[in-house]
Amino acid sequence: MVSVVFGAVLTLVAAWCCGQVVTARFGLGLTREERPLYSLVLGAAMLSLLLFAMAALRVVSDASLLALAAGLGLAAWRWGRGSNEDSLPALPRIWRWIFGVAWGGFAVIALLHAMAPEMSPDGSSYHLGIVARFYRAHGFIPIPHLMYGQMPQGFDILYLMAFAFGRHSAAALVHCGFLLVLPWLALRIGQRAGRAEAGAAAGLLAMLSPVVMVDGASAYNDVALAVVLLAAFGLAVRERPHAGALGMLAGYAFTIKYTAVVALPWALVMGRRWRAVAGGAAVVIAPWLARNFLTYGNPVAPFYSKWFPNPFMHESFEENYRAWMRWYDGLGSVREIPWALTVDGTVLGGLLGPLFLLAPVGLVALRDGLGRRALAAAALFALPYAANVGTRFLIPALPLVALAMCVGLPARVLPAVVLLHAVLSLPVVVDKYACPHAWRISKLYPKVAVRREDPKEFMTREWPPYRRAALIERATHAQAVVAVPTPVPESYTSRETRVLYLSAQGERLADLLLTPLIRERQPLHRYRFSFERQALRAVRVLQTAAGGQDNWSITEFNLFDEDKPLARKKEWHLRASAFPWDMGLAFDGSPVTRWRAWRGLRPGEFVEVDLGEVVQIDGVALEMSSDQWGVRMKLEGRGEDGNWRPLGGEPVRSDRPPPLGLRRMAIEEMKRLGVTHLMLVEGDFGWEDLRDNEELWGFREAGQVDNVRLYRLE
Amino acid sequence: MRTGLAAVVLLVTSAGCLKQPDVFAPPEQRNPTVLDENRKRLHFVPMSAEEAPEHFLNDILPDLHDGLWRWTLQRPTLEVRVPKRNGLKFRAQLTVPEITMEQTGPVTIGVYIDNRMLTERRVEKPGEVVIEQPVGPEWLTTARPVVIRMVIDKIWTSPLDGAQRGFILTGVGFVE
Repeated sequence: MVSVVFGAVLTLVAAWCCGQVVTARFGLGLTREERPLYSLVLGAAMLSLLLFAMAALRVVSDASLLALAAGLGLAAWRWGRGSNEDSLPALPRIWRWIFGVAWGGFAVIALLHAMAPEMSPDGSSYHLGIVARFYRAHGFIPIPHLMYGQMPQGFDILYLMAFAFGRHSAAALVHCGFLLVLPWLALRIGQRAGRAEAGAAAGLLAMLSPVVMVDGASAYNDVALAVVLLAAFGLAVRERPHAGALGMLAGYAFTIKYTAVVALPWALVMGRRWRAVAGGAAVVIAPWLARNFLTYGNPVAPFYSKWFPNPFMHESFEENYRAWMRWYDGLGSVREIPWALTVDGTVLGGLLGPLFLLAPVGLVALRDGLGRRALAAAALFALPYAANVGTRFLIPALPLVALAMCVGLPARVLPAVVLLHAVLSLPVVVDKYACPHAWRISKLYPKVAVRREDPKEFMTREWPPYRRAALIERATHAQAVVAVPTPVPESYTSRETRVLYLSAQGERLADLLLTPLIRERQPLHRYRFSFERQALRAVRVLQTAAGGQDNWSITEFNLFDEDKPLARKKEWHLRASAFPWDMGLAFDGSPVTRWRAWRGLRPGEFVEVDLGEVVQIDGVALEMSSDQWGVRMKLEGRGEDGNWRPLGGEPVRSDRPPPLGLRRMAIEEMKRLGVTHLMLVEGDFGWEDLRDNEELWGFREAGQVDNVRLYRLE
Repeated sequence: MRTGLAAVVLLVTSAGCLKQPDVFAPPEQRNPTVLDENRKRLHFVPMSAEEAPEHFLNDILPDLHDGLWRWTLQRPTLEVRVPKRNGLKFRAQLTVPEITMEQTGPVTIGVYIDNRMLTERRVEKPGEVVIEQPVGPEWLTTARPVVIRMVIDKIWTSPLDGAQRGFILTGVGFVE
């Protein structure tokens, strides 16, 4: 427990020390009530940069992190002492009680949850899984086979310091620190605007919300983002906003989550001096863009692969991913969203609390200056919600929505509103009305939170995903790479996992596993182009159909002369208009691998073979799967004159037998990609075939837990 | 500040110009370059395969319809070659059309491997039929072609010209 608290406190204090220097240097004109809060948030941005530098230099270690913290403490002592402005107006006595009791009560709940073993899905899998990898590697390492590893980790990198000393719970406590700061920041914004009650009420409405509580007490980053944006708002609504600091916070928000890009134009407008805002933002953003550009060839990896083609993510994945995120399974219509968001909580992964059904009263705040600005910012920060309708994706805008609501409501009703929200947000009360599967703090485990019980024993007993991670750790060797159908809590294993859909390689692994099981993926069709024998230097197949979801693929591409296939030569140059990195898969002689365009059909797509010399050819045969009905093709050849000309007419299709040995070949290909183990969950597509045909596939069971089997590829 | 901004602009614009590698050489070959071309006989014979007629021994009519299927007579027989004996299933994809069943009523189709009966399927309604049956290694040999014979108990006879038809065959042989 001591190490948990030490890791978290060290990180938060290091951020605060950093911020003390920043606030003193910037001369932000903060009161003594405001300064610690803005110091923490601005300091987090600066600490994030410092940790970025250490990770980039691969010098992260317990000693270097301690040295950094010590250095920041000294810096704060030396340069962080600035004069504070006068105090803010006092909060009415009744509000001091309401605020103190509600904040204190829910703070205890949040702290107990954060200190318990981290069992959140994203926190335990990728937020901390990536941090753990960086920690083991002493800094950044490329993570090309997991899309989340390619995102900027503006806030998650703070977890690196906490994780080093207190592991998972320390990281969650750092986020929890931001959760606890949120209402205080809202209160100070209200006090400065002469609306102390509205600020206090808004802060509590936001913090006590069930989804905010569970998110903020886990190793996520949504609440941190909300706090950063709220701090930016607090700076922006001041009489003379500090443009550099505002830009820095807007930029920091972007490095926490790409969707916060909406804060950049907002900051440019609110900060008035656009150059200073842009400069402040650039300082924070540029390192992450540069890292992604240098590592993945895409500054905004893992997205926009269409603009920045790279071997790590497929265009089709991004299209599918956006579609998944825009609409969650189980959501019937748009009209169901308000109820799902505020009361039900299952379909959208958490609930805001029924009080937020009153959010439209925030429109009354349009008559008030603070309310108008809060509404405008909230509307802007909520825009990315259209791209992901999960409840937690409203968290960044939630404090400002709450502020607008509380500014719009009469001050005399605010105590009742807050108390009602507090009661409705108590875990035991939420149980009464929310769906049982809604993501929230439903149970506290104080014994394990204070480490009077061993966390590993606790998780082994209570949490099946941990048992999967433990199985991987127990049944595999140190260098194992485990292909998994869905994410496992990777932060609890030192082994690398490859999720079968979260990267280009993951999707290729899935294709390998599914090809032996699904006939439509097997090369059962042969398309043969026949033409008059002639001397050619290059041949290309063009796809001519447009639109549709089909994904053009070629399993094998063969050239013929007098009915004999041409032996493939190293001197051949293979090109493709889409995803050329897999071009070799159409020329490797394997019926289980294939080149795929990994995007919808576009006329003019091509696959080309330059033979490097003039060769006599009279035919081309393409072995293809049937899961691409919309594909239409034509063949062109380039002779000695250098001009492309049509060859043959329509290809003639014939059927081929299902190749034998596909299962074994699939496993061999997986091994070529570095995978050593495969984890399967009973009920996954085709799991019975894998269970019943170990010999045909070429693997052995290495372990089993619950409904999960782990296989070793042989 | 200006330098930082310029760096971002330069980075983003230069990323757009990033030249992706666009030329690759054929990789190490896993298998013969043309699938199945190294064997004289297939293990499974799609009726539309170029070399399908070379496998026919008896009662499979030569005309390919819709580029996909052929009519059989009463005892369609063909030979295939299997490269291994373990882990294989017999599979036949066929159709008993309405026009023949109107005359014959329900039919029974027997499957013989090297003259030993493997299985039998009663077909009560017209439509597509897939007969799939695991085959033990004792049924198969890799030393010579394996003869598959299918026998339909009742055959359709054309009232116009007396032509006879068994069923529509799309593919038959052994799969994993």
